[in-house]
Amino acid sequence: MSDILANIKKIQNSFNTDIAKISNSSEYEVVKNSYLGRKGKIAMLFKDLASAKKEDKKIFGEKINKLKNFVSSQIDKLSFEDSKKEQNLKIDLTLPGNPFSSGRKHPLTIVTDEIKEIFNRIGFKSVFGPEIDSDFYNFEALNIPKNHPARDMQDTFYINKDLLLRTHTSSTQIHYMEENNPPLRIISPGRVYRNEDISVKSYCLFHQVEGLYVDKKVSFADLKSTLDYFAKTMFGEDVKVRFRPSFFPFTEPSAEMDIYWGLNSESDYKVTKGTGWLEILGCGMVDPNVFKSVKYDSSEWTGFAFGMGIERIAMLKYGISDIRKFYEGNIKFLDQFKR
Amino acid sequence: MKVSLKWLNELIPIKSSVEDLVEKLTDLGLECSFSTLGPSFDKVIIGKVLKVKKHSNSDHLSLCDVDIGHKDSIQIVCGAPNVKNGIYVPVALVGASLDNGNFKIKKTKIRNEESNGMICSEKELDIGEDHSGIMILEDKPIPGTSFKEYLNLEEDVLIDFDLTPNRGDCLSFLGVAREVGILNSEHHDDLTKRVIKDNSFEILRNKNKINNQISVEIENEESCPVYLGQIINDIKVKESPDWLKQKLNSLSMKSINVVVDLANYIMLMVGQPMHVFDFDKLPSKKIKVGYSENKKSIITLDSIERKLSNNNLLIKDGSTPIAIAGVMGGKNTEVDENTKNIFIESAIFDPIVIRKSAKSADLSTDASKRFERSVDSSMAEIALDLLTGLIIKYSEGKASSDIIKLDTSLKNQNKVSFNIDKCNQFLGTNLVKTDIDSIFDKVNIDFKMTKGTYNCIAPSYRLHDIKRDVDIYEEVARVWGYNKIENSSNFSIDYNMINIDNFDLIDTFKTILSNNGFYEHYSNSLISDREQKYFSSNAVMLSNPLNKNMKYVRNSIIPGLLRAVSYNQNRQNRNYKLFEIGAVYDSFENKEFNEKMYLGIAWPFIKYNHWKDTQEYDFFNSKGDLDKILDQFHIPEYDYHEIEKKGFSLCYMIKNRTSDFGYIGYVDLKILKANDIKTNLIYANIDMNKIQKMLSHDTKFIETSVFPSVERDISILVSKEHSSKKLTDTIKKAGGKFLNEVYLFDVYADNSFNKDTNSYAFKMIFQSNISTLKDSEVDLLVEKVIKKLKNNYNITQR
Repeated sequence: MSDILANIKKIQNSFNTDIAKISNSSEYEVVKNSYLGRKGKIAMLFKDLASAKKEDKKIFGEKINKLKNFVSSQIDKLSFEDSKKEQNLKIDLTLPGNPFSSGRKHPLTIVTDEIKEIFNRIGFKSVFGPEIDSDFYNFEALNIPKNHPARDMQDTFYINKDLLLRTHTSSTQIHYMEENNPPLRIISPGRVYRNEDISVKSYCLFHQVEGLYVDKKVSFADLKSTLDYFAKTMFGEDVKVRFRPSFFPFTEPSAEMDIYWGLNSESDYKVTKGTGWLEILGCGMVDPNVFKSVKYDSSEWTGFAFGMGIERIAMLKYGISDIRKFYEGNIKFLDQFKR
Repeated sequence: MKVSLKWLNELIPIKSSVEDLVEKLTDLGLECSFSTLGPSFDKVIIGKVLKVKKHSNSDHLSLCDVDIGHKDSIQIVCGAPNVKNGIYVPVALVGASLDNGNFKIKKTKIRNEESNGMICSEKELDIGEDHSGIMILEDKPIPGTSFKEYLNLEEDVLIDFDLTPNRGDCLSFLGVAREVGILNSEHHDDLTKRVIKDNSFEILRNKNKINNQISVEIENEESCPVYLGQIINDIKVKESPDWLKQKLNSLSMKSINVVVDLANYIMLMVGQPMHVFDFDKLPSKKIKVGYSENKKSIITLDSIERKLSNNNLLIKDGSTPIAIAGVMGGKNTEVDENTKNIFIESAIFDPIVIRKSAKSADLSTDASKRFERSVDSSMAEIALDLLTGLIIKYSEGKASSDIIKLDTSLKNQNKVSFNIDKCNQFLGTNLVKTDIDSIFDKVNIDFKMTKGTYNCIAPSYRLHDIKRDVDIYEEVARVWGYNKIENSSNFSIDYNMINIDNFDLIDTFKTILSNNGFYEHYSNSLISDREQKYFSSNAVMLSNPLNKNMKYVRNSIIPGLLRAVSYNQNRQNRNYKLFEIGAVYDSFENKEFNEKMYLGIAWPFIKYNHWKDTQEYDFFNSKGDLDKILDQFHIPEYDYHEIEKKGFSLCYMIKNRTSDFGYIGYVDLKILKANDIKTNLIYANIDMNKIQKMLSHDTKFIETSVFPSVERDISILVSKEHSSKKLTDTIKKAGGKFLNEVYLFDVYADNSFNKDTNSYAFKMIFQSNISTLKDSEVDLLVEKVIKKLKNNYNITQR
């Protein structure tokens, strides 16, 4: 038995001598075969192990394995360096790689996609409508008759007496309700226009996502939980949400949802007007007059609607203070919005 | 609507901090914020003029020795005619700043005499119009007292309400106080009674019947349901008392005279706008409420001549317009300091009539804002009496023995039925009768119960807003508290409602493009006259554009991309590709505007520099990009056909058997130059709707061959008149079913052959699904191909 142990030691020593002497690939092959070959020295050791005593087998086996691993790793190392020499791979790895070219989605697309995805998960389907629409779809059907003071809330671009550039994507909801029966869950993303002077804070157009849910027994509490889910998914699990009464002609009751933004910096004071709260979206229970204009029976169906500005959310999310940056197409701006 | 906290506090005690009040009112639906009030009057103090000397160098200047509460008095040079010994005056010391910080008081020398401050007029302090002389404080305050303290402005805070259009009832102190009453549990009726009582003064009357002095006729009753009138004789139009000036000043309203100020005061107090005419300036004393007959314009109180339209409801005397009803009075009947007799109008005008009128006059006033949002008609007579009493108190005079009273307003009260269960269902609440009763009491909704159903009557000031059960639900929700309503705990979905987005072509294009080197652009889709002419002959024009550069709705994606390319070029941003997908209006059928959804891609001059290799983009790179993008979709095979296209110097239409769905080409140099773009620009346009129509989502797997393929190259000389596309198609056809793939791998045009010929090299890959092809079989096929090419195109093999 001590024969085996002595042999292990002997082979270990002779390997160290042999490997140091290797100077070319044929010598390398010889050494490799004489130790690791099918009839090599290590294979012989395993053969001897078969005749060892049962209680010694485990210890001897481990020692032989250790030797084998050592020999293999030394041989491999030599082989790697050898190939490297042969393939002439002495290179400067810090040289820049040659990539395929990549672009970017616009930040407003990224934010819209995120909102679509959040509502998609709870069954809200995306629908689309035209940017040029009639007074009926943009105003009348939404309970905003002519000469209603609520029209002052939205300065409108007109094409003629009847046609206009939509001021919100709620118009899409009217189109959809005219063509589909309840129950329904939809969101309508898209571009809207307001005849307002261009400044850091406002632009003549912006983008909205509006949502609508109509079913039997939809309640204000449902509205709150849905939008609470949205806020938590969009802004983080810990976000604090509050609802304030407001007024929109197409919802009753109407509300505005604020999230708590905090007052940690000077700009926080500015964007939240010192309150820490930030208005994120408008919402409410669909006004029965809206259902009337699309011939839904409001004694049977109730629903809620909501709408938000994509630019506003993107500006908050990315810390952009000038809305005009979105429409310049500056590559150095666009390049910053990664997934 | 702005409200001074101090003033509001006189109506209803404010029990909480202003922060708390603002938050609670916001939660009730009156969004508001607060700020500390008015000019700071820093370094403005009370002074007593001890001695006035003539300035040795000037006729109109005086040297004043002024006690400012210090041991030593100071010298101030003053030019006011009313300065004299012993008067108490506001003094702006050195370092004070007036006129919103635009005027800083410094120590100066005026004609060699030292001046250490300024004795101020009302106007200089921005608290009144009077600039005839310095302000003299008759109540002899202690010199040295700060002026701010003297005015008692110390603690005041201004609450600024951003009221929603439905809450016109809160455009008065009484209205705001009522909302505070909801928080303080003070009943609205008690509050209203108290406010009226506090402002009521005895009305001294003479024996003159009003009908003997003036007549009023309403030509259009719907436009003016209530018209009340009162004459007061023998008044003296003075300056307003200080308390009134201070109140108006706290809301940044200028004091005019006591009559006008009091009318404004009552409007602010109870919400009823009134107008006061100089009775003696009425030419015929025959008041008519109606539209203009022949007069084309009126000069309003602000001295501006305003054109009248059919939308302007007028107050006329005979046929002379004397006011734009509910908007602004006329200059011709203005009350001034010489006015002796007045006619007061307290009327209710129709909201829509006033809105149209104010819009068409492009004039929004305190009165029109209130009428547009409905004014509480039950307050019209009360307001008239309050104003009459106050005018008599402060301007003397006596009122006519009776008033004009024309009232056709509907008195029947609209009953709204309300059911607690339905309300709970709608709001998702569990409110009980005591909750509801308490809420109704707070918002002054009167009701009778029949068989468990409430029959509700809204208070007079909310009649326009509370008409239906849902309107009452909103009242319940806001008083109960939106944030106290618990979120529902589940959100059920019927299986038939699981209706998530299907394949979205636009999203897919955006993903593919942005993953392959293209930056997405969102451009302003309102374009100029110049831009709309570049690429299309049709464009939708706005009737009220913001400016001339944004007069048209875009009729092409390119103008927006050109702007972006120019923007980037000017900022030395290089080597990028841009795309935009958006709505375009470029054609009209039967006067209908058809919205198109286009993808536009722009390749400005691109040169990718890399240490390994450098790539300079040309048309074929762009075409290759486009083919590769389109290859991601199952669309029928397409070709490029050269076409003439507006705005392009060279353009190819992209077309297949279904439709022509796009084009690609070089943008006209003249257009590039006009947009200051200094390099070539290749642009491609794809019609998303057309792609959508021909998409096929049927993907069927085709078994790949297990047998080896055989490659053969042929090199040919061919006349330039034959396109590579034609040649490739011919090869494909002649090669038969075993010819799996053909592609052009070399093009060579050289004068050494013939200047009319091209040298093309094609690679052909043959493969069979059932066996290994033998060389001899492939040779035969290649021969067939060459023969066909020779026959059809007269090629020579190289």
